[in-house]
Amino acid sequence: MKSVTRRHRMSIAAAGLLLGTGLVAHAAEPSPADEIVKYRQAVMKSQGGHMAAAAAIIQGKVAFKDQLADHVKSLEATTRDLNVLFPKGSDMGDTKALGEVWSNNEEFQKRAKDAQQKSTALAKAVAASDSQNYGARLKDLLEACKSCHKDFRKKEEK
Amino acid sequence: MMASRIWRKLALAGLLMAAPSAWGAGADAPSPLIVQGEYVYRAAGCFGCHTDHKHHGKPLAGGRALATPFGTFYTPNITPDAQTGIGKWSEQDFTRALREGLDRSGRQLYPAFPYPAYSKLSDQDIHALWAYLRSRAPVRQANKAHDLKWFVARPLVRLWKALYFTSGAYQPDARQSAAWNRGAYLAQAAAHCSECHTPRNALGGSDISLRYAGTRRGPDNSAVPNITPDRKTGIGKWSARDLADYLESGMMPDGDTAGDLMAEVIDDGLQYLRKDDLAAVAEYVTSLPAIEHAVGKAQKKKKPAAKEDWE
Repeated sequence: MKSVTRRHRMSIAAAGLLLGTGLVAHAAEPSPADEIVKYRQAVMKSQGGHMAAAAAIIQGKVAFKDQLADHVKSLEATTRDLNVLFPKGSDMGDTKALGEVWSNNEEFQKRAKDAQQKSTALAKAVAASDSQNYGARLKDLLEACKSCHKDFRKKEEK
Repeated sequence: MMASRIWRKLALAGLLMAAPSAWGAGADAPSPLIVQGEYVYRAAGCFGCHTDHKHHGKPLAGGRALATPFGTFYTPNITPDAQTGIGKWSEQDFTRALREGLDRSGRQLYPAFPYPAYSKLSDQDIHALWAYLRSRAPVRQANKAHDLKWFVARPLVRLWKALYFTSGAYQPDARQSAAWNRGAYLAQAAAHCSECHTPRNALGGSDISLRYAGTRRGPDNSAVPNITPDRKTGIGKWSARDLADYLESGMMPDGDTAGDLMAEVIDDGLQYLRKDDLAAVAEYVTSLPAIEHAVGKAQKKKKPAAKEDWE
């Protein structure tokens, strides 16, 4: 009887120790890297949204011309420094980024900069009401997005 | 000494001025046949497969690896080089390759080369494509041997053809409009969409009950989307206009861009097609019967193994 009680007390103590140190199995907290992956996917999704919206306005599919500036400004803001969204160590988990982002980081940064420049050019055209060139500037930006996705994003269907 | 050097420079200058094509003066503009041939070439996507982009290979000189369940194929050199390309081929040889899937010595061609699609090209388009390919720069680059599974052999292709191949040009469907037929022709004969977008059985034959409905095991082990108009698993939410715009620019209705293989197809080919042709293809594809067929992500476990096959 005595040994059972002692064992019982010890197991309670052990459980307390484990709980205290957080080593008991429970739903794993997302790592900082996981959060970055989710964040940048959210940013990329928002860019897709603004691209589609800007395209719809520029192609005359909808008449919300006064909303175009907001979309292109958002694109300019979120492409300002894409490289920051891909720190070392964020290549694991549920990411569609290919290892090349880091193993060929120089080229990746070039593409990111290209997207930034193209989005700025589009935003400038809209700010100057240079509507003749909206289509061409949008196409330039799209090409930048596409080129990076081609070489740095996993080939998986949507 | 000085004088002869000056004369040589003048002679060179004279030669250059007499060759307006080098300066784009237009006197040597390509013939209408070659222009048409280039158009077919763009729609058919020859450049994409017959160029080794990964290793910065020369255009059409071959060497690109295509990983399949049957092993890895390396595309041949189709420049007009006499030693290593198709420089010795006649137009009849070329036509037979596209129509019948046979090389100039009568050997079976593996249907990794999508002649089941190209067989549907019109005589005129094959003739024009030949003229265009002959006008390309010859490149001396020997073909790399395919790296195929032990049981794969050319004579087996005869059996494969008996089961899965009917040669012959596209026949218009009289019940459909001219535009629809144009779209069907471009999609089936040139762009050969169904070759990638249709699942294949163990023998490598297309499962026609799931035509265009996507496959988990496409080229280079990629997942290829369902492009039938199914709203849940296909592109049913896309309008014909969305699809035509996508084929021209690579932008999807949600603002995202085409994935790497389609980006290639578009960048190197479809973006050069006329707007009315792209609209026709879109009309055809969005008229297909909707097939519910969910194509999930390619099995990640298999991917690394597949890479070893062709690396």
